[in-house]
Amino acid sequence: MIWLTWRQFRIQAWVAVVFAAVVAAALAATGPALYDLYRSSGFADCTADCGEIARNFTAQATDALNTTLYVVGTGALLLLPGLVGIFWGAPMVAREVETGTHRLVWNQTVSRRRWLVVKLVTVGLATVVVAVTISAVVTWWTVPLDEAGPGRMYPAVFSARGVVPIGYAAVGFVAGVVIGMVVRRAIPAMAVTLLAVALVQAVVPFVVREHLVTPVSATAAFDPSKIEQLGIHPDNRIDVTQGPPVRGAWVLSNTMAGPDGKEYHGPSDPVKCGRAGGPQECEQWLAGQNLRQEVTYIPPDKFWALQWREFGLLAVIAVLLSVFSLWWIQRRVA
Amino acid sequence: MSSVITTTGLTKRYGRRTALSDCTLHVPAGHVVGLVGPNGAGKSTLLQLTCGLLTPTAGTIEVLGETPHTGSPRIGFVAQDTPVYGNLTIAEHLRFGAHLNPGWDQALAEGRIAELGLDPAQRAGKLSGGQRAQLALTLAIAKRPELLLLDEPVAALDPLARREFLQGLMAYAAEHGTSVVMSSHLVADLERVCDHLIVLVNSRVRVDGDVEELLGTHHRLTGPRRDPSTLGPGRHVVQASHTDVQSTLVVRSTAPVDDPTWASDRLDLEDLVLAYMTEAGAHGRDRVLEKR
Amino acid sequence: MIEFHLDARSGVAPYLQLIQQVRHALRLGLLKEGDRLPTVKDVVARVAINPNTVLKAYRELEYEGLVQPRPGLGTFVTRTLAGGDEAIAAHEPLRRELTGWLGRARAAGLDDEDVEALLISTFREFSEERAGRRG
Repeated sequence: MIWLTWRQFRIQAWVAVVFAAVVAAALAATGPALYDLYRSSGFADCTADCGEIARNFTAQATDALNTTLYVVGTGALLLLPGLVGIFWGAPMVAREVETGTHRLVWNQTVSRRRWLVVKLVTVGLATVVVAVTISAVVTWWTVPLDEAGPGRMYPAVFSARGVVPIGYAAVGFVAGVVIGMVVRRAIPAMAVTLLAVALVQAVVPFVVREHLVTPVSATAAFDPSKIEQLGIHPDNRIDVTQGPPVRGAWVLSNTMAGPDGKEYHGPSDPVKCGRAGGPQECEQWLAGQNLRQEVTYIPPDKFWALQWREFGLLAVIAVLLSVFSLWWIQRRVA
Repeated sequence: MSSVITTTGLTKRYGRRTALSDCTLHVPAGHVVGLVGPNGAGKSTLLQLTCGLLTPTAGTIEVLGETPHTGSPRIGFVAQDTPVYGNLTIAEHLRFGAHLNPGWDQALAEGRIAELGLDPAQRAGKLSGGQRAQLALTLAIAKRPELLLLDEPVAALDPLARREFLQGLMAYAAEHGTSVVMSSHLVADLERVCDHLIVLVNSRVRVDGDVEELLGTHHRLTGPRRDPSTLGPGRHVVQASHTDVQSTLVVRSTAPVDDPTWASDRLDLEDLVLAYMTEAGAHGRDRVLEKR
Repeated sequence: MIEFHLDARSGVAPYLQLIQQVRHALRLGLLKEGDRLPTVKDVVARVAINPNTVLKAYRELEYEGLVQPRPGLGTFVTRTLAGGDEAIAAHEPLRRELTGWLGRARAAGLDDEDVEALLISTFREFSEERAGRRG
C-alpha cells in the first residue's frame, strides 16, 4: 500500500522537494549577510529609541534581492496550504472516483479505511515536512526585517512564521481530501478547496486569533510626542491617535477618550488648530484637553504562546476532518 | 448445493431512485453465472452490493457465508469499463497486486501477461480496450478469489478481444473451479459460457435458474387465438401476443404441452431472455383480450 | 488429439455439438482407442465455453462407453466407432468414387446447393428403403 501511494505520489513529491529546496537554499545563502548587517547597523543590540536605527537598517537591507526573498518566503508559506489542498488533497480520492480506479484498488485485499489512512499519513507527512522546512528557514531569515518593520504579530506575517504554517498546510491538505471525496470530481473539488482554504486563512487570523490569548488593555495619558495620526476636518472635528505602548504589538483597538470617557473627536479650537496655528500649537492645545489613550493589543512576547495555540486549533481541525473522511469513505463513497 | 450468494429482499435506493428492489436469490457455487438485463436494470448495483462497494438500503446479502465487505481476499471484482491506472505500467500493476494481496499468485499473473503477448513495461494507459480488460482480469484472478465478479467485462470489446477474454476467463474457471458471476446486456455474450442465468429487468429479478432447466421448461406455443388464462394450472405465461386469428405464447411449464391445437417449439436462450424483457416492458399488449 | 469448434447458430446444444464431434472423429478414424481427448481447460480456452458443458459432454461419452477418464492423466478413448480396419480401408476407394461423382455433377451444371439437396434426399430415400425392408 505504501509502495502504491509512493508510486502515485512521487512526481508531486519531487516537485515539492525541489520547491522547498530552492526556497531554503536561496534564504540560507543570503541570510548570513542579512544578519551581519543586522549586527553591524547596531539594530540587533538596540534596546531603546530604535526608530532611527531601524529605518537605516531597513533602507540598507531591503535591496531588490532581499525584498524579493522576503515576499517569496512569506508568500510561499501563505500559498502552501492552498497548493497542497488543490494538488495533493483534492485529487486524491476524486481522481480515483472519476477514473473508476477506486473500484480496482478497493477490491484488492485492503480495506477502504486502511487505504485512506496510508494515503493520509504518507501525503500528510510530506505536507508537514515541506511546511516545516520552509517555515523554519523563513522564520529564521525574516527576524531582522520583521523586527524593523510592522513586526511578526501583524496578521498576515504571523500566519507565515513559526509553527502555524504547518497547521494551515495540514488543514489545507485534509480539507482537499474531504472535499474531493464529497464532490467526487477533481477539477470542481480543486476550485472548492481553494475557496475553503482561503476562507480558513481569513477567518482564523481575523476572527478567531484574538480569542486565543487574553489581550492587554491599557490606558495612558495623552502624550503629544507619541502622536501617530492627527486629522482636522473643516467642521472642526478632530481625529487623533497615539502609538501603542509596545513596539511590534498586534493592536486590536486604539482610541482616544475625552474627559467624559467617550471617544474624543473635538471640536478643535479653530484658532489653535486652524490655519493660523501650527501643528505644535495644536498639539499643545490637545495636551490640555485631558485626553486618555485606550488601547487593546497583543504584545509581541505572546508570539509563541499564540503560535502554539493556533497550531493546536488547526491540528484539531485537521484531525477532525481526517476522522470525518474515514467515516465518509466507508459509508458514502462507492 | 452450497450458495455463493444469498440475498433476501435485497433493495438499493439512491435517493428516490430505486436501483434494485426486493431481490431474493440463491446463486449456487461452482457455476458461471450470467447476469443479464438491459442497461440500467440494476446489474452493476447487484454486483457492487455483492463485493461490498455498496451497502443495501433494505434486505440482506450474504456472500460466501459472510456479509460482503471490500478488501476481502475471497472476492475478485472486475469493474465496469475495466479501470486500470493509466500512468502505471503492467509490471507496476502486478507489483501493486502483489503488495496488496496476501494470496497473490505472481507466477499466474506473469504467465498470463506473457501468454497474452503483452510487454510488462507498457503503460496501462496505452493498452487497447481488450488488453486493458485482460490486465484487469489478471489482477482479479491472481489474487486467487473464491468468487469472481465481472461487470460488463466484454461490452466495449471487439469480437476477437471478446472471444479472447472469455477464453482466458473460462480457462481460469475450469482450472481453479472458481465461481463466476458476470453481467452483460447482451445474451449472446453469455450463452456459451454461462450455465446459470439471472435476468434482471427494471430493478427486479424476472427469472433465474440453471440454463438447461430454463431451456427445458420454456416453450413457444402457436395456435388459434385464445385467452392465455385458459391454459390451466402449472403453466406460467411469460409473454403473449395476438393477431386477429392467432395467439403466440411463451410459456414456462414443467409438464409438456400436449394440447393438439397448439404447435409447441423450444426457445433458444436469447428468445427466452427477450421474452422476459418484453413482458416487463409492455404490459399494454397483454391486455388485448381483456378489452374485448 | 482433436480440436473442437462450436456453431452458435446451429440450434444444437453446445454439449451435443461436442459429443457429435467426438463421435464423428471416432467414425472417421481420427480418434483411436487409447487416444487422449483434450483437457477441459484446453477445450474452454479454445472455444470459450462453460467448463461444465465440456464435463457434461465427456460424462455423456463415458456413459456411452466411448471414453474413460483416468484421474490425473486425462480422458481416453476406449472404443472406436469405425467398423474396424476393413471399413477404414474401404474409405479411400469410396472417397475417390464420390469425388468422381461430384466432378460429373458439376459438369452437368449442378451448383453446390443442388448437389447437397440431391445427396441428402438420396441418402434419406436409401435409409428409409433399408429401414422399410428390415421392418
